[in-house]
Amino acid sequence: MLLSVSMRLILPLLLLAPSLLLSQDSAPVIVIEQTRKVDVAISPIAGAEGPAMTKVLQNDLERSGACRVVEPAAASLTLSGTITPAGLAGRVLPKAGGAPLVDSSFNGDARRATHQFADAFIQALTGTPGFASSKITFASASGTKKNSKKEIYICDIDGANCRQLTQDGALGYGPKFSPDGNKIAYSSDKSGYRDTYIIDLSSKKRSIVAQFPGQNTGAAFSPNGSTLALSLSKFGNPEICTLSSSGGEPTRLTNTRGTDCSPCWSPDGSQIVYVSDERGSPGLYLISPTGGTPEKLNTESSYTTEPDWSPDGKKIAYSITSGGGQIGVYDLETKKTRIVSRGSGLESPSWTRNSRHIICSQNGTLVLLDSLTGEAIKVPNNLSNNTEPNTTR
Amino acid sequence: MKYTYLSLLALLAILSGCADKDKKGDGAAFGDSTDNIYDQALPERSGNPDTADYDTLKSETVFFSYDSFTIEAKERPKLDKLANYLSNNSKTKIVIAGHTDARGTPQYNLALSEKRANAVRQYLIGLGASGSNISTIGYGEDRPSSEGESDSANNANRRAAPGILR
Repeated sequence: MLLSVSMRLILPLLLLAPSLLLSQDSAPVIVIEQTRKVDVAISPIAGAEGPAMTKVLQNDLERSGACRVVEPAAASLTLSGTITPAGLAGRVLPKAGGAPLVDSSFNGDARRATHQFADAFIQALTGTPGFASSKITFASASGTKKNSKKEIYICDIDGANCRQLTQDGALGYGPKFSPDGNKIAYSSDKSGYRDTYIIDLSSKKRSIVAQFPGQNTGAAFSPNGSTLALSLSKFGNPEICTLSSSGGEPTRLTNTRGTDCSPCWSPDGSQIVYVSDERGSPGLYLISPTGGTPEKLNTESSYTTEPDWSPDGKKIAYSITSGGGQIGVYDLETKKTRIVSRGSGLESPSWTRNSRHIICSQNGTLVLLDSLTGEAIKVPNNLSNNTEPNTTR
Repeated sequence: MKYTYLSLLALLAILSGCADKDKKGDGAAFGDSTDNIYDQALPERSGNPDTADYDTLKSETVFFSYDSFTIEAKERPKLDKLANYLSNNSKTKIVIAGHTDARGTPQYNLALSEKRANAVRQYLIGLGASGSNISTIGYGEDRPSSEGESDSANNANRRAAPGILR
């Protein structure tokens, strides 16, 4: 008991300075190189849903990019758990002995509790939040090409629990979660014109938040959830605006003769990155949420769209159309760019919590892309034409 | 050459004149940016673009180059005809539905198609049409007139089509 309490106090400090860990503790490898994987084993989870949840956990760990699931003899850490009426009791023990890395109860249904166990473990192992408990919202098209409908869906980040949220019978676009994950903003031409709606996932109610003349698209919640940035054309031209997330009158930020769209906030709320073609082909620009002169980012590609700011604030991921559909990452400190995907047909990046993995679509399929290795893993579902995924933070 | 330059000046004069008119007509001047001649504030909504009649004025569909919202010289006679139609039918409300080809990403294609529709609307206003009778919508790449990504399909799909609202 005493040990457990002291461990809880010490662990966060150790995670802040992971290099100290080896010198102060006899625990096995806790510090990992960015792409080096820690070998872990999973003891079969106990309980009726145990076998299924063991697989869920293994999948979570492999997708985390931080560890490799191996036979117990080869593992430096072993995860074990028991499904309980309240959720799951999980524990991670170092092979070398000593205090558990994780020893906690996780509430919710078995699947949710298992994802939370995985996230707690990844947080303890890497010092960075895990994303196994995240969700994805996306649009999926059906019908003929010339008269397709796009509805909004939600699923777990591993593809499970896929649900259709809208039955608009219209073209729905760009679903984006609120920071707390409880709301989704999207646009639809359900009324005939393209309006912005907000779905409240807890009350299951939908409200209309922007229905100005012209287009009302690409709404993104500010980090505190109070404000939306979106593209409005009521002035006669698509411009970036802000608007209270409960509606009201917008504030115009840009004033160009070009096409301004796809705003995304920096995590500290001090800047907005968006797309404009005011200087020819579409590129990325930064502007203050109170307006002012935009600053162009040099992404070294001629056709870049769909910027998404990483949760750690350091990077912006975007789509490169000129390369046949690749994902690029702009480093705000070094001002350098990197193409982080392989193959083609990738678009619509959305960072996961760890600022390393990116959910995007590839030729109509959702994928989890590791921006360090370029590896893309499918997020399976039974739908086709999946576009514009967005993941919870 | 000189003639073209003068026409351009005349068009700019018409555009800025209309911007002022629209600003008053709209009643809700917005921010401090209303002197932008590219601003032709959109009218309150009417009708439903989804069920508009896109057949009657089909031959006045304007086509665009890749990633462009510029109205090319060869397309302008169609807009002369359309402006003429509007002046003869001053009660008719139309929507300009913009479209892109299948290349590019969804949000930018939505905005680019809206921008194409806006550009056609502004051009019509420049020719004397009433902006309050012209709404716009952008369908991005999702209402192609021709399937696939061949050059001919792409050329056919990059368009702004006038529809009569009913």
